[in-house]
Formats: sequence, C-alpha cells, structure tokens
Amino acid sequence: MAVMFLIHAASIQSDALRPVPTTTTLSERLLLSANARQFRSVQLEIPLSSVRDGNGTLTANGESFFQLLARRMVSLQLSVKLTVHSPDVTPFAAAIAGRMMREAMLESAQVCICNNEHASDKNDPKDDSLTITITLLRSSAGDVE
Amino acid sequence: MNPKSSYSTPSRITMLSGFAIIISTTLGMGALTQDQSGDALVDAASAFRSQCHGPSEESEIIPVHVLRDKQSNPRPEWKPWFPMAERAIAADQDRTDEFANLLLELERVAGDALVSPPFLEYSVDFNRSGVDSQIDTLDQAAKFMESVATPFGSTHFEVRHWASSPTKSAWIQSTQTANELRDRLQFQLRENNLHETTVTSSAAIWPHADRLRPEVTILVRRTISDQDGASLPAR
Repeated sequence: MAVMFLIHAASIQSDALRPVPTTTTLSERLLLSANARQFRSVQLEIPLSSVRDGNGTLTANGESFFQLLARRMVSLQLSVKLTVHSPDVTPFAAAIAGRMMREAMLESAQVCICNNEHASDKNDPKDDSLTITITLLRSSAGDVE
Repeated sequence: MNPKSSYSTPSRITMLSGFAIIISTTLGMGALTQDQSGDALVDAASAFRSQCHGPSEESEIIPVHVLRDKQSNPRPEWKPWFPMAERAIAADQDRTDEFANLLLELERVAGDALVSPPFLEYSVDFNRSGVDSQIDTLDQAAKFMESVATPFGSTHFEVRHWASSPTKSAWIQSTQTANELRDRLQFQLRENNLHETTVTSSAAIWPHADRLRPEVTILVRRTISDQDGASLPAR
C-alpha cells in the first residue's frame, strides 16, 4: 500500500512539473497549422467593353489576355477570381472561366467566380467592369516567422 | 376474337430482362452519383441529351482536372472537428519574379494593378452531416467565423460554394447560392457586433471526385506584415 501511495504521489508530482501548454486561440492554431499558406494577390480591373463585344462574346484582345493568363496560371500555379458587379455579367464570366479551363486544362479550384452584387465591402463598384484577382503562393507558413 | 391475343402476358424472359435493365440502370446511376465533382453524371446526361438532340449550350461540360486524394500531401497534425481543405498547389517555391513579369504583361492590357499585402490563408470545409439541415451547417460556419474573427477587421472571409457539376449553368447557379450564404453569414456576424469583418463569396467547381463535396467552404485570410519585401514592382 505504501509503495502504491508513493507511486501515486510521484505521478501527481510529475504531472505538476509538466509544462502547461500555452493557451492559443483557434485562429492562431489554424494559422500555425500546415493548412495555412502565405499568399499575395493582385487585383486588376478591366472595363467590360475591352473584353466583350456587342454580341456578348469575347473580343480578340480579351481572348489574348485570358490566354496569356491561363498559360501562366499553369506555370506559376496561380489562382484567379473573376468578380462581376452585376448578375447579368455572371454568364460572361462563367464563359471566360470555362474557356480558360478548357484551353489550359487548369485545376478546377484554380478559377472561381464571384458575384459582388450587394456586397458590403464593395468600393465603388462599376457594373461595366470585370475585376480579376490573381493570387500567388509565396512560401509556406513556416517561413513567415 | 380472343382479347388476350392482342395483350399477351409477358413471358418470364421478358420480365427478367426488364428487371435486369432496371437493376443495371440503378447501379449505373448510383455509381455516377458517387463522383463528387459531378463530372461523370453530367457526362452521361450530356450523352443522353445529344442522343435526344436536346439543347446543350448551357450544359456544356467544362473540362475539369479532377484530383484524386494525394498520399504525398500530408494532412495537418492538429485535428479540428471540421475537415480542413488543402489548397492544390504542388510546388512550394517562390516565383515572385516571374509573377512580377506577368503583371507587367497584363498591365499593358488592363492598366494599373492593385497589389495586396501578403496574407495567410486557410480553408475550412463544412459538411451537412446526417439529418442536419443546411441551417445547422451555416450555424456551425457562423460560430467558426465568430471564433476566428478579429475586432479590427484584419480577417477577411470568403464563403465558397462548390458547383454541383462542371457546367456553365451549375456554376452560375452556384454564384447565386454563394451570395445567399454570404448574406446570411454576414448578417450573423453583424448581429454579434463584428461589423468590420469583410465577407465575400465565390463559386468554383469541386476538384475532387472521391472527396465529399462540402456544403460550404470558408476561406480565412489574415493580412500579415511584409517582412521580407517581395520583389513585386512598387506602385
């Protein structure tokens, strides 16, 4: 009995000496996880008139622009978000996205579409423009600190 | 004239053939619906539509590069109660110079570009589990957003909805759904006095055939200080 008591007391003592894990928030734990990566993005705003003709199809300028972008998306592993500011333009953005994916065989998640209609964070949105956000992976989260 | 002669009872072989067709069709459809990207199902539907000479413009298949689970891509050690998605990026190397060159090329066409400060990003998937409704999933997402949001607006959320199939019409529908989800989640954040937190929406095609397509994915972005000074051209 005495031996068991001593073992029990020693285990309690060792537990007390064990370093208490520092309290971190959920957000901090997520940011420190392998899932978090460091990115940098660039936003371009182009008028719809320069990429869309009267019939609602892609102009020659627009075609070369998005072809260049799609090719570089493959080599640089970029992801692109096409933001429209009116629901009427969404089909056009979907057509562009589909064409980019068809021509460059991009991974599905590399292109996404956003309809910014009624968004609270919009900064003077123009219905007649298309916002292109290009995102580049810089380095792993472990390199940040 | 015997009426039975014109409506003869089906023979045993005919009935068995009918059953076999029904069972094989059910099994085939079941197998198609297992593909979480919706690629297989829409492929079969497209083939059927072309046989029937139906319209195909809106349901034209967007060729997707469907990803299979990569064994080499390790999952995070810390296991949260929700599944975390990993961004599909193979190489982990700094290509800032190449990116800067691309920007110069694009700027010739598009004009000035707005370069953002670097940010950390992670994504969290929310699935509808069992009998839980979409409202429960959104509640879970809202609670998560409240728990990681910062009071000074340095956290940005993107509510991503995944299109049910790789077609133009499904993608357009998905952008509308993403907008509705964004509005509902933003409303909940405002109810909890997180007015500064920005929430945007996006829609994309689910890239995994064999991974459950989430109800919604929340991308969390946190701006960080530009310590190492990327070699992007100063603007």
